[in-house]
Amino acid sequence: MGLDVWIAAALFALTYAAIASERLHKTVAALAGGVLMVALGILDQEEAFAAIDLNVIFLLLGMMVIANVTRRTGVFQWVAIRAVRLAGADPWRILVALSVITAIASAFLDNVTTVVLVGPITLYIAAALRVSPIPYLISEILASNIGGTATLIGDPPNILIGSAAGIDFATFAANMAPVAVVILVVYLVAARFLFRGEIRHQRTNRSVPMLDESGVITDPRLMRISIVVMIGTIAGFLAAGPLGWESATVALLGAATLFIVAREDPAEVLREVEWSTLLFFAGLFMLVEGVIHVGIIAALGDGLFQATGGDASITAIALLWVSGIASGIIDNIPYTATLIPIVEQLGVRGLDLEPLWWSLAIGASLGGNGTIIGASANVVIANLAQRAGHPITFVAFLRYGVSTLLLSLVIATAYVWLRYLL
Amino acid sequence: MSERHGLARRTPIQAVERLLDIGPNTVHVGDDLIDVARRAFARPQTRILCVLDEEQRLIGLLPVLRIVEEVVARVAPEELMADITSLEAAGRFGREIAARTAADLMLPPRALRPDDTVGDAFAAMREERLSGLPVVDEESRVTGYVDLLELALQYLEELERTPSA
Repeated sequence: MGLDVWIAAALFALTYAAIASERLHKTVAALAGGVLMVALGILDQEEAFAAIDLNVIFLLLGMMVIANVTRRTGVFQWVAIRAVRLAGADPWRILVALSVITAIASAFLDNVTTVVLVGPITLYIAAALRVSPIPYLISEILASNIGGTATLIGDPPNILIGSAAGIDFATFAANMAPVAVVILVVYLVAARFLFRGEIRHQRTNRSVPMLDESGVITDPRLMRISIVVMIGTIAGFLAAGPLGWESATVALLGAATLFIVAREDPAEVLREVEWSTLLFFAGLFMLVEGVIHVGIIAALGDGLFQATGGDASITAIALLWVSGIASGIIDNIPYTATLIPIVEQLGVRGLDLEPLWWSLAIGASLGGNGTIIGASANVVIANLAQRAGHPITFVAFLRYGVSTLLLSLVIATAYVWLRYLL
Repeated sequence: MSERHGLARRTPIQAVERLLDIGPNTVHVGDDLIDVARRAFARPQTRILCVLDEEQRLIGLLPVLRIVEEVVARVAPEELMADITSLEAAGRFGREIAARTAADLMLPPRALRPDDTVGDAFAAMREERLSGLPVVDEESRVTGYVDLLELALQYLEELERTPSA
């Protein structure tokens, strides 16, 4: 092995260690790792920049702009209040309503927007009932990761896979939404047992004061425009495949339309874009390109192919479970960014890629439920809980997270087997 | 405020206090927030309440604006929810609606000493983004209060009276 292989491997391992240990902010770690691949001569700058998947970056950017403008109108909180009003004052029905709203929102919106949608109403209800919001918030984390599995834009690993594999929104939804819906329904049934103790304990004589949902609408004109643009964007995603458009084109079209029609100040809207997330992706793309360039990924692909004997079924199921477990322990974004080229290598060796892509997507998305640090939705909701004075500990979450993850992976295994491997 | 004394950035707080009319407003750590709100309403000029422990020592500060938001959260939570567009705002809302006593809502204690200067007071209030600060003795007992606007107006009057001050 040449020196470049050792350097690339060491840079890759150090960057992963820095991200996992949180000794450095993950964006700083990924950018530093990526740029060091260039500085140390593993890649030249042109190769490094060419590796940045702009379809992923601009898809995220466009959706963040649309979500940022829309959430200012209060429409998401309007939806949450309506759902809770329908649920009445029963803690169990409230938990189900909030979980379903979270799952649906997560399929289309970024995590911060989803939390801003469900977080305040959750905390308000818990305060009104004088109960802990923690069971509701944990259920929202679990539902968020399940809901995010359903669509191309629901979870960052899905965006990475969709872009790398050239899978359009409609195809992604047709393959992922059915399993996500089944898992959500089974999870909600299981949640009755999972949270049995907490919910039974929470039954009180207090009722939730009636909320007036019209009070949260801050700008009816902007709300109407935002809803039309959001529906139009989702319709655009569905039509993108036949039209030959990439997802980023649709998202940027939606964002540009919103800017033009709503006449919002671009500087103000763009200030709320999660630039650190976008730069994290850019750094990761360069970092992973470095290990691809020196042949490490090809060797790993070869090793995996040998280990599974080239059997598509074993490889797909192993990929599902390994991804599910690994994504609970390490950040599922760098994990997926690394696994994508490995899966491509398996395709080069003749394996059918379709079940492998779905196994990776399902495993990486659902794996986020394993631990409180498994996905960005978990971290964002845990952050909210901490800020609100109700910290969710690693151990407290583990019981619910691992149970839900195992249940989800069993269902997903049956789905992948029946739909793609039989 | 009729008495006039030289007022400069290096003037000690103990020399300035007697020029200021607004006094401290204190509550106890376990006081119900509605009672605290009534105390704040009774003396609206004092915009930062001092939270004391059983031994009358300063253990926290309570800006009136936080109390207002907490009371509004009880009667019209939708009004506050409408303003939540960030994670930070959502967390603050959660803390406010769950608060029941002064302890649940108070900020960490911050105070001036009698020998701190007017410049120290301006700097401390800017740093903490507070519109007033209590003055405490060696045992953290509240002896006075400095309101930012009142101090600034006094300072401005002094500048206008003696431009070289």
